[in-house]
Parts: sequence; C-alpha cells; structure tokens
Amino acid sequence: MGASSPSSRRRANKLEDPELTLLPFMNLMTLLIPFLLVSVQFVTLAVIDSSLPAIGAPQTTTEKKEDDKPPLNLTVGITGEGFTVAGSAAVLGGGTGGPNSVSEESGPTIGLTSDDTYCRKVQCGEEPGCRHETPCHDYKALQELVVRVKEDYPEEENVIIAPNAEIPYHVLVGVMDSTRDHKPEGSEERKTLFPYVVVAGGAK
Amino acid sequence: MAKPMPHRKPEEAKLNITSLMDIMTIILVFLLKSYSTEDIQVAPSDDLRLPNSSAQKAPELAVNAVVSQTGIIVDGVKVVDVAGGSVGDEFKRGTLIAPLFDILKEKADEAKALAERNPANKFQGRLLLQCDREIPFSLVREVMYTAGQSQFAEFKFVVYKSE
Repeated sequence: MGASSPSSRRRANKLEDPELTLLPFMNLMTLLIPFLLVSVQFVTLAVIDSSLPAIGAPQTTTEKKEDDKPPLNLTVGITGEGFTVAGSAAVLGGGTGGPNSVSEESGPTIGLTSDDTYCRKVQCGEEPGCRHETPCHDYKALQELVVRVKEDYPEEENVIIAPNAEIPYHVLVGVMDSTRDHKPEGSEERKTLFPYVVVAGGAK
Repeated sequence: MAKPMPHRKPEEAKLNITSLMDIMTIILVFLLKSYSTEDIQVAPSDDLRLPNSSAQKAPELAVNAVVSQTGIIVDGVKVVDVAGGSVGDEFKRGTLIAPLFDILKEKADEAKALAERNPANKFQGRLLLQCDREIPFSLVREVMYTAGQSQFAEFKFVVYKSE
C-alpha cells in the first residue's frame, strides 16, 4: 500500500510532469465546435415595421385634440431629384427651408448630393468592389431637417413616405432610417423621431 | 561527440494537446458568442442583397416573402418570376400580382383556421418582406398591395443590421 501512495511515487520519478487528462474535454470540443459552426451567424438581421395606410380618410386627425397644433402629417416624397418634405400646413420649398416657400415648381426640398465619399459610404459601407452611384440621395440633410421638425412637433410619431415608382428599395430603407431615429452628437443613446412609417402608393 | 542518450524504458506515447486546447477554448467562446437562434432564414445571393439599416428591432416569425431580382418566393416556394424589376403583365390584374395573391390568401386562411382552434395564436397579418436593395419601388408597391388584399397588412422589412 505504502509503495503506491502518490508521495512515494513522485519521489520515485521526479521528472515526470503532472498531467491533466484532457482527452475527454477534447472529445467534447470536437463535437461542440462543428455544431456551433453550422449555427454561427455572420450577419445580424433586423426588421422595420410598417403598416398599410388605412383605406379612407387619414386617421391621425382623431388623436390629441387638446393642443392647438394641427396634426403634422409629415410626408417625405422621394423622387429621382431628391426628397420633398411636406407637412399638413405646407410643402417645404427647396433651399430656403421656410414653410412659406410653397411651390411645386421649386423642386425638391433636399436635392441630391454629389459628395462621392458620402455616396460610397451610404451605398456600399465597407464592402469592397461594390459599385455606387453619384450623385445620390442626401439622407444626412434629410435627417437634420426631420430633427428640426421633431423639435417643433415633439408629439408626432407618424411619417408618410411616398416614393416614386422607379426609386430603388434601398433608398426607401435609407429614408426610413433617417426619419426613425437619430444619434444626437455626443450622445450614445438613439433618440426617436418618427418611428411609425406608412408607405404610400407614391406619385406616378 | 555527444554521448548517446541513456536508453529509457519504452513509455506510452503522449500528445501534448494543451496548446490545442487553448485554441479550442478561444474558438468555442467566439462561436458561442455568435450563436444564433433566429427563426428567419436568409439565403443571400447575387439576386437577393438586403439593404443595410440602422434598425434595431429583432425579427420574429411570420410568413416570409422574398422579392429578389429573379423571382418572388413565399416560404421557400417560388411563386412568380421577376425580370428587369417587374412581374410579367400576364400575371397581373391591375396592380395585383395574381399568383402571389392566391398563395398569400391560402396562407392567411390557414393561419385563421389555426387561430380558430387556438385563440392564443391570433392571426395578425404579419408579413416578413425580404427585398433586394435594387428592386424598384413599383414592384415593392405591387407586392405590398397584393399582400394588403390578402389580409397581410403589417409589413416587416427585413434588413441587415449595420451597427
């Protein structure tokens, strides 16, 4: 008995390393890793909610009557030339940004931008070998404008987006992104703007 | 001349697997971190490149409609071909895409029949829409209109989360 006790054996061959039995653990690993590899996710998905506009009169007028302000009905039209931003009161004219410069002929509220770096970043991100178009829609300017609108109408949460027929889908998503929320400078938290999106049939 | 090593007793051959273990542990932690239990299946291809977005909302299970550059697929079954960003006129009744309407109607009826037996599982008309980023809005609108006609009124646009 005494001869096989650990202390006496260690004395017998001092040079031998104490060793962990790692093999069972290895077995576990070789099973776990293939299993996890097949279920690994390299892209994360998200969804943007939108509902169909109700048929008939707009419903937003029935809410919140106690304040003086009429409902905003913020509408963002997307055309090949840019964004046309309108509220129930007026269409924001091009350039001036004032609510009084109402005119269909004055063109879009926000034109396209020809900043090539910006267009590349918006359309391709970091993806190499991706082709992008310049000029492109200026989501940054749209967001700045929408933030200003939100300051005036903090209660409003609905936005109507009306793209033209030929507008590619990613522009629509870009507009929904810029009107949904934003990150104020120097802040980590996203601030909600107009999260409830209705996609309208669009101008012909 | 080096002295020959003293002959040792034949011993059991041992693998030194400690360093391999290190690698394995790191890989295991990394894989566990990116383990997904998501319900939605996305098969990215050249025909279906979802747009990037800053949206944060996690997807949930619903009827899944894919609008790619080559076709419209509902729950894994191809419904109609798409060419040049539109559906052929022979499949359309005005704005309605007839084959898509038929299959979505079927799905809605199925879901309603289920909801009758199980009141906890109400039919909410949710439709996950995966559209290619270059699809023109006219086609998206036709799909949305068709879905609306077949009682799917709540759309969830599936996008890649970019942050």
